[in-house]
Amino acid sequence: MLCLKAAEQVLRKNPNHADTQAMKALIISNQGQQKEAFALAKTALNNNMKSHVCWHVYGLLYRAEKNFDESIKAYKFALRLDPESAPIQRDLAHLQIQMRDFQGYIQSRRNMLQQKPGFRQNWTALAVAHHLAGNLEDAENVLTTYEDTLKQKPTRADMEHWEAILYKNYIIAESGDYEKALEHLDAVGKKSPDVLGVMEMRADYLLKLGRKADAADAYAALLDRNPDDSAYYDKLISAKGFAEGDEAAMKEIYEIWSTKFPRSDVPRRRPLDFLSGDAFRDAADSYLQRMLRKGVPSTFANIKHLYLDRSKLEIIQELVERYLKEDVQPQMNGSAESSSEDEASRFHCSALYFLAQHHNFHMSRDLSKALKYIDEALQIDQKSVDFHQTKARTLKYFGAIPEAMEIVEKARSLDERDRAINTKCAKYQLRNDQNEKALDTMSKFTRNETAGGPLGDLHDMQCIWYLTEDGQSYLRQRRLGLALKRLHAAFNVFDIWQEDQFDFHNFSLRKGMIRAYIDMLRWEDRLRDHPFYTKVAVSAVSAYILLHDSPDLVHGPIPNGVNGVGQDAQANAAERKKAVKKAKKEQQKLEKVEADKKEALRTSKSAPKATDGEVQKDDPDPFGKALVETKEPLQDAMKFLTPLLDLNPESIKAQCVGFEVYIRRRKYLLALKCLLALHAIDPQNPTLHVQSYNLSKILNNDPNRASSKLAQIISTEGKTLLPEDNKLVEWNNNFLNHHRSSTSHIQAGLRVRALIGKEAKATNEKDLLEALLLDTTSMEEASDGLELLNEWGSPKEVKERYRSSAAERWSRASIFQAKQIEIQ
Amino acid sequence: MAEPVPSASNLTAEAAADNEEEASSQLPKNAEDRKAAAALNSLNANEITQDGAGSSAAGQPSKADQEALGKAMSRLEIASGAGASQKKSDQKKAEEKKGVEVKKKVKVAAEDVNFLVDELDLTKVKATELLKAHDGDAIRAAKAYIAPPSKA
Repeated sequence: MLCLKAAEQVLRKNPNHADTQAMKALIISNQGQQKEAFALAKTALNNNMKSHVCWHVYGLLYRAEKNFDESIKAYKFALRLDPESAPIQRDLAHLQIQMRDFQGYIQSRRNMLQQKPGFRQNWTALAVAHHLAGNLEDAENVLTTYEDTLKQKPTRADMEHWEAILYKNYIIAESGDYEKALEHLDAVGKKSPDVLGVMEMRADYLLKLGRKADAADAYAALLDRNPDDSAYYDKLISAKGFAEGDEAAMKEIYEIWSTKFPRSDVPRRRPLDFLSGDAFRDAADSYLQRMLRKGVPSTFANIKHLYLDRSKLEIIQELVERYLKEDVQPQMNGSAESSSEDEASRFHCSALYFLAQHHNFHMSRDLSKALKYIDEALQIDQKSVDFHQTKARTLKYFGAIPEAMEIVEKARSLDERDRAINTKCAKYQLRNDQNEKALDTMSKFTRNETAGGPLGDLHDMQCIWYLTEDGQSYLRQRRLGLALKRLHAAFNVFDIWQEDQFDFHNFSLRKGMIRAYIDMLRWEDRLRDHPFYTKVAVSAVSAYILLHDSPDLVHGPIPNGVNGVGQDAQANAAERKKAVKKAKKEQQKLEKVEADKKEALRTSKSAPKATDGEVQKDDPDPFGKALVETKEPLQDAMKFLTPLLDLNPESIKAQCVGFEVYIRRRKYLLALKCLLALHAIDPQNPTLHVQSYNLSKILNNDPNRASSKLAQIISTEGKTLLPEDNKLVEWNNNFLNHHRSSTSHIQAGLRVRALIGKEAKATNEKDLLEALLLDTTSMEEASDGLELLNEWGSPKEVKERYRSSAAERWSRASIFQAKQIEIQ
Repeated sequence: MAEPVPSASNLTAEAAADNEEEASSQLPKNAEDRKAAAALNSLNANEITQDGAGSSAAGQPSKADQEALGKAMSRLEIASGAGASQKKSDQKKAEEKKGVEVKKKVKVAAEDVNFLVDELDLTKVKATELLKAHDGDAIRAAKAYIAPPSKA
């Protein structure tokens, strides 16, 4: 405030003073008035084109807007006017590394070093610049040059020095010259305060150099420090060079450390990975008994990865079932007698719990058995949070979403201070589309005095899972405004993480923590390959596709099937209007309720906000109206889609939604790219079949739009995928014949058959119903079938028949309940 | 002129300590004239002692030692610094030359660039690069672009 006043005072005397105007622009930009700030900065520039201050401010404003390219340009111009300015140079350098402009960064860092060679951090920074640009040799040189200037030996406490030394070692190793790296490490590593780091690097080099005996010793020393790092064991074993499948020798290694560290889990558990047959049975028996007697709840999670081997799965199931039947004597009889009864019941309980989880797991699923075991366990201990949670999960797999929610709610009430179960509870509520209830649950652990209440705090705390689940829930309810609002919020969290780097370009160098800094930069480069991002992006893109296909959803949720796309559009038009009107009304009602709530809040506690110091703005658009009213939903979807396809090309879902966007945008080459990628992942994917048909149909129908170049590329590249023009029916029949026993493939084939010709509708419906009755049909596939019937606009009787036979088979699943369908 | 700029960087939420460093270097030093080595040395020596006192991160052992070493050190540094950068710039020139050699002069038709920009959602720069990498053949470029990663 003070600065603003001072600036205004100067301007009053000297209204066209450019530098002061620029400063004022910067101040008001920090107060959130971006537009005014830009206007003022422009006038300032007009008043004095040659002022580096004005250009610098211009760059800062662009940076605040995240327009980094323009910002770099402005900084560079400022620097040209004042080549000696350290702040400008520094801002430019940070922006360059943020944008990964390595050549530019090297240049900037070299300038900074020339200006101030007295700082070690400037030398290290130049080395970092070379390193990231890939000039490992130059990077090493810079560091060595600096080291040569040191006359006095740095002390042990000089962290910056020792970090820089190890960083140099890291660079040498990265160049692949492990011999040299090892030599260097042996020369300098002894004094480094990072003992563990040095030991790990040394062991790694020895192993890579093939000095196996030394490497084995090094890893043995590491294991003595930490017997719970499984990577050490792997490397130790590879250093020992045992013959393939020499189980006994490997087991011996683990035994050494399990006797040395009896409380350590890893050396006991790891042998289960490679043992087989009777040896496995014995090892598993003693491991499971030990864990279950103790009542370790994570026992199942510890061993479920073994289930990839069918025989191990069976042995484990058999063992635990036996524990239930017979009274297995404890192996150790050292335990006090008074507790033996306790222990027996705990053992029994844990075994029941284990089996319930076992039958829940997708590789060994038998839900009715799981339910039986967990109910038994619950009879013994009615107050167990874990048991209730497992029961809820079983019900979820049954498809009984509301019931699952109730059980997990009960689990939560058993221990209200348990944050984990509270979170689970909120998640189940979101899965059941109870958004307000879920927020209420979350609010028990949030700072509710934050602006925006619990939801505001969840945003501040970057609670991605909640934002994603909430968004997905709204997407299911077809309330796209809110769905997009949440998904954008989750997307922004990733943006913030990327932005967070800025602080470290300076901080890490000053603190001298270079290796961690380099790791962080590399992690940031692949930030969005995280599965959470995939979830967010796929949902958001699907929301935009939905919005593009049925623009009426702008007004609010309109049930599927009444959006006038059906065959008798004429008759539906009136109905559609009605639905839109109704949706609009409901939306207005909702908004009013929300406004009332806010008003009530304001009147009830009017004072507290003033104490906060800064003015917290209310969200002007709590329903995401601005997002949903977009003119170009597909263009907006690209924001999510581009990083998704760049960093997660292996995701089937990503390629599927990518295709749907590109084909709607008429970017046929890119659509084909998605198909080819999908084909490379899974050549038999059912969605691939449908999408291939869609693409070829569009191309066949549109010979004019497809320019000759385009047609040529697509016809050669897509030859393996796309059907020939006149053999569509045959192509599809082949597909159907080939996949007679897979429901999802049959559905894809039928979908294409319906697209080829409308006349086959009745047969399609019959075939779909038959596919439902296949033994292998999963609940998800069954519900997809129902959706397909909706898509075809099938008559009510057909849908009802399908629904009732699905409901018969999945009697607990809420999606097939009669009520649910009527709402649809 | 020196005043407003640090305050600008202040607003970018940089640490205060950093500003001190920057402020201390505001005096026009190195570039002014490189031939006056002695003057430069003493200036730099001053700067180092200041830094030793100012930034705790460096954690220098004793200031007296540092001061005594300062002059010699800075001479060394400037020599090596200039030498290193000289070498660097030479290397860079060499690299640039290499770069030019690698980038054969491929003529690119504007029409082809536009085709790639339209169909592949690329920027003009990237589309041009892609075309050049495939000898200006739009069809080959597009094919390579859409090929799945396993093939490429």
